[in-house]
Amino acid sequence: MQVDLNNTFGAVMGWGAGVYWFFTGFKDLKARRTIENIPTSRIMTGAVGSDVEIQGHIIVEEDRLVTAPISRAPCAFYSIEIQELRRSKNSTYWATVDQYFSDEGFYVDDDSGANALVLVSGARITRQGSDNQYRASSNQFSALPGPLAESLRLNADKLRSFKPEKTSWLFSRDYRFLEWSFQPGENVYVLGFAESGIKGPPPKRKKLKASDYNKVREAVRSDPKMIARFDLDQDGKLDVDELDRGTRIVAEKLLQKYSKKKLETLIPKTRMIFKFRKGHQFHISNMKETDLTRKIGQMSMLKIWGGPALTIACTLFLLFQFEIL
Amino acid sequence: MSTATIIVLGVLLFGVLGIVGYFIMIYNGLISLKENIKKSWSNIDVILKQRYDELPKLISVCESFAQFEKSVIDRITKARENYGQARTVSEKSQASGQVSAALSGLFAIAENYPELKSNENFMQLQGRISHLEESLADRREFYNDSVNNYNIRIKQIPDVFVANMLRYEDEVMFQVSEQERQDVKIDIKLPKFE
Repeated sequence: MQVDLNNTFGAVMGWGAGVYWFFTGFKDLKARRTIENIPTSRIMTGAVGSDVEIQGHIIVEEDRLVTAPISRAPCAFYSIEIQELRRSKNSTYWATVDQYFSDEGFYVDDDSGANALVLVSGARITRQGSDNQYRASSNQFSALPGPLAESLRLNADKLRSFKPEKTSWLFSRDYRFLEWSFQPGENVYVLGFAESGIKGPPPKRKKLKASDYNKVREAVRSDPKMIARFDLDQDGKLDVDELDRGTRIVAEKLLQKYSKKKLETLIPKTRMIFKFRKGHQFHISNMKETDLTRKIGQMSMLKIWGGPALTIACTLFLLFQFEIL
Repeated sequence: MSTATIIVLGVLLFGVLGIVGYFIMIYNGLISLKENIKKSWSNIDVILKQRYDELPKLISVCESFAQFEKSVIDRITKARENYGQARTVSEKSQASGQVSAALSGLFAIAENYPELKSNENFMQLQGRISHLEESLADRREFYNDSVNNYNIRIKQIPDVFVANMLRYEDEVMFQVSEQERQDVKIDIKLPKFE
């Protein structure tokens, strides 16, 4: 008996994938029915403390617009998915190694007089529209476009598996960065567990960019009042330690002012906060509800019928392979 | 074992699993639909209760104006009493309609009493009740959507089989009263063109 190990391994994987798809197909079908069963609420008057469905458009304060690192378009929120090119014996495929978002969430307004904050972590995001992408080998990481390199640096703490470190040509790997974003005014559909806005956590404070930090440093160095304030040894000038301390204090004050401003504007009008909660569905989409249910329904049918077909085919292959049949 | 037997066994296995899984999903789906209706009704009931509690304050403010039309106050008092006695969804929706109609009548007549209209307590109560009415309208719409989804589901195949097994029947929608549905009469005297 001659067993082809590669094909056998593939068949075993296929067998497992078929069973997995079969069960996740039912999960998708349940999601579709949940979306169909829950009517749309208005943010102002919807009942918090339960699963709520809203439809509205994305809002953002002008000074909170971020720049998408690949398309360089101003947006309210962006996602970067990092994929690595992997090779098997006969084929190559892109495997997702990491993903991060520009912020913890975004705001939705449905013209009811209130807004909702959507914290995206743990949500199932179904989008229409293509992604922007940028390809690079790990030996070219030092030459990444400025906005992308800056975005990776600012979000380094969110990256769990991927490290944007340049490698030598010999150990080089191919990567691609997929970007999608939500534009201000874009329609969005959200279904999830809604909590009261009053108890919600304040948005995460933005970090000061390196260029801004340098500007603060320069301002502290050149301003006589600042010099007088941070000149601890009273020698009329700031040494490195004094300058660092002064810069840190001023930068902290600026960040506090920035965060306070944000809290004062959008938070009082925020009536709902959507966040992932175990045992509850959490969907975000820029599609219409009917299109979303159709898409999820098609996926579920494909999995429910395709999964078993794949498993049966793989079972037959394995039985032939081991000459049981 | 032949190839055909393996295929048949595989199809049967997945078929049985699929049918059982589908049945469980429909069963759970119908239960959650039914519970959604109860929950959305409770959300309406909260607003109705809040409005019910605000009415005596409003009546008391109006009564402090000796010349205010007694028939209007009596109508609200009667509507409130009817709501207090209502038990079922249809009774409550009918009584709620009466309260809404009586309130809109009161607020319309209050326009003729500038002193009452400018009274701070009255203004506060009017604002609060208007907000509750707005919430009530939204939640009524939500409730009716939930009932509509449920009523459609229990008649669709294959849900109808499970619904029959559970003896589920149509739920009643929250009806808008005849008075609320009536068009507002606008009587504007336009100048004649020569």
